[in-house]
Amino acid sequence: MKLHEVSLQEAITLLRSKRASSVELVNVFLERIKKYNPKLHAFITVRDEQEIIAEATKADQERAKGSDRLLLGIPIVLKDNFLTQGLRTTAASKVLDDYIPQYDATAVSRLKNAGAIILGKTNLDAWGHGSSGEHTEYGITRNPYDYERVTGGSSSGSGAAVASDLCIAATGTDTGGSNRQPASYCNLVGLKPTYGRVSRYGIIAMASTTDSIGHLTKRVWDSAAILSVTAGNDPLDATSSTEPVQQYHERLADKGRVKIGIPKEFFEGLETKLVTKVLQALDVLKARGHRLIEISLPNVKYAYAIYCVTVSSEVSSNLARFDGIRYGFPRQRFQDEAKRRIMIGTHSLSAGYADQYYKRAIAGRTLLIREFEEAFQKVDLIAGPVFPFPPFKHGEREKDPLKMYLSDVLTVPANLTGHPAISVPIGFVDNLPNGLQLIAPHFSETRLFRVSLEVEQELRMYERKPRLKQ
Amino acid sequence: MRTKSSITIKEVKHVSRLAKLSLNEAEAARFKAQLASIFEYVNQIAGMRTQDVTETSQVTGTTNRFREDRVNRNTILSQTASVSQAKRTHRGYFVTKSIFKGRNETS
Repeated sequence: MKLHEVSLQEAITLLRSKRASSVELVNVFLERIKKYNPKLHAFITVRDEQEIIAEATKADQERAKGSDRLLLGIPIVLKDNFLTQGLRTTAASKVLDDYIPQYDATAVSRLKNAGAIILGKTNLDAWGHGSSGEHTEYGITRNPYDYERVTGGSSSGSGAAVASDLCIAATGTDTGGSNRQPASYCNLVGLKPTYGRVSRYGIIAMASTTDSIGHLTKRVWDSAAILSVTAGNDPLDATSSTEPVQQYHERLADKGRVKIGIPKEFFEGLETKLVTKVLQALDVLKARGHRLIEISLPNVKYAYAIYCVTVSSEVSSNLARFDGIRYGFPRQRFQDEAKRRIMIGTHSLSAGYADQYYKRAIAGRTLLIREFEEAFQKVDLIAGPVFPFPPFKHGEREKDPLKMYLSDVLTVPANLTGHPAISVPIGFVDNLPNGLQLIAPHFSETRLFRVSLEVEQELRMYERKPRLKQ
Repeated sequence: MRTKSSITIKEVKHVSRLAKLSLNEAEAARFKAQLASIFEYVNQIAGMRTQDVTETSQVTGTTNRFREDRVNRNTILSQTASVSQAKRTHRGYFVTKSIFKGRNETS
């Protein structure tokens, strides 16, 4: 295997056994970033090469002295809405084109404390608004498996960077599907942890009640290991959970049969070829001894409408802070997508409309949560597709905002209910990747990882690499 | 169930003012059409039986969190760092836009 293709688990093994050094690793990736990023647009900012090599040298020295922090010397990248002290953070918007954060997000400090080396900041749909990677002001990210198509979003650059082997792993935020979607379209594992599992402190807020801080990785073990580092209570985020954190990556061996609920509503109006792929993946789980049970979640049909009102309302409030006075540039620099969402939210909250929209949506959210809680009385996991269709072409859905928004119908329910969810690669439709979505009860990430690992071991989709262009 | 909800051009201009977004006429017209179709879709939430249903404010059972009212030096920014990203500062302070017009404010 080539060095750049290693998973996190393999990289750790190589470093521990001294078969590779951190300096070798970062050099391989820096070389590839130079070669492939100009076309892919995965990065907004790549850090200074000398600084990165100096950090890798230090990591190698530290390891020689016996240190074995989990991510020591591992090159990773961060979505550009994670604040990084001294390193430009733009949220892919020209409003923050020159913003240099004064502090690190908690997730970033935790990754640094575990020894990770940050190569750069990745592209996204500006402010996290989008599911295609097209709403950026720093070059539309291309899907490594087909440059004419979208990566999925909003963690578009993170998806492209990991899938193209420009790094070992990438962070992402998931407010309505932003980690699961690019994972599905880029043949990766994408995690949306339970709401509050990972601190939101220092993440540029999109919607405060649904923002979930996760990551995109090549393999399931990698996803579990990174969560073991980033998860945990943070006094700086009062909504972060005090539930004990597990060493998720050490608990993957536990076998056990689970009951998997298949909501019929998740399959309505989907492309046939995609449904076939998902059903094949579910058959794999059935053959492994898990039970598949058809369930019904009737309120799911309202999920996108509830999400649209709730999240846009929170967006309008969170983006109100960008006044061009304390940091960044004036509000004139907001592009159409942000303006649209701010206005949807402002209208939903405005006098005369708040009862009809905002209040009704947050009450409707309660009904959706109850429905999921009831389902989890009967089943251990809920499974379905991630996107209603395979990766689409650039510009194909952009012109009609509603059509674009509705690509999120299958991912937003878990954000509204706060449940952890994952996308795991299951197969290619017309040479384009797709994922299976699994949703678990609150704080049951271990179960998500265990069952995803079985899908991964059986289908081995990670072996299928993209052919990159220069 | 309500079927008519399309947002008017007047309302679009009103919310853009509330949100401090300046739109020209062409933008207002374009956003009006887009927002109208989005709200038409959103209107289906009227079909949910939400009367007397508790509104969701949090999802994982979190209750109030308190901490001691003590300054943590590790989590505060110095004055210099705080204003370091501002386009305009004056003696370590942010310079804001004036709100009152026609008054002879000292500057």
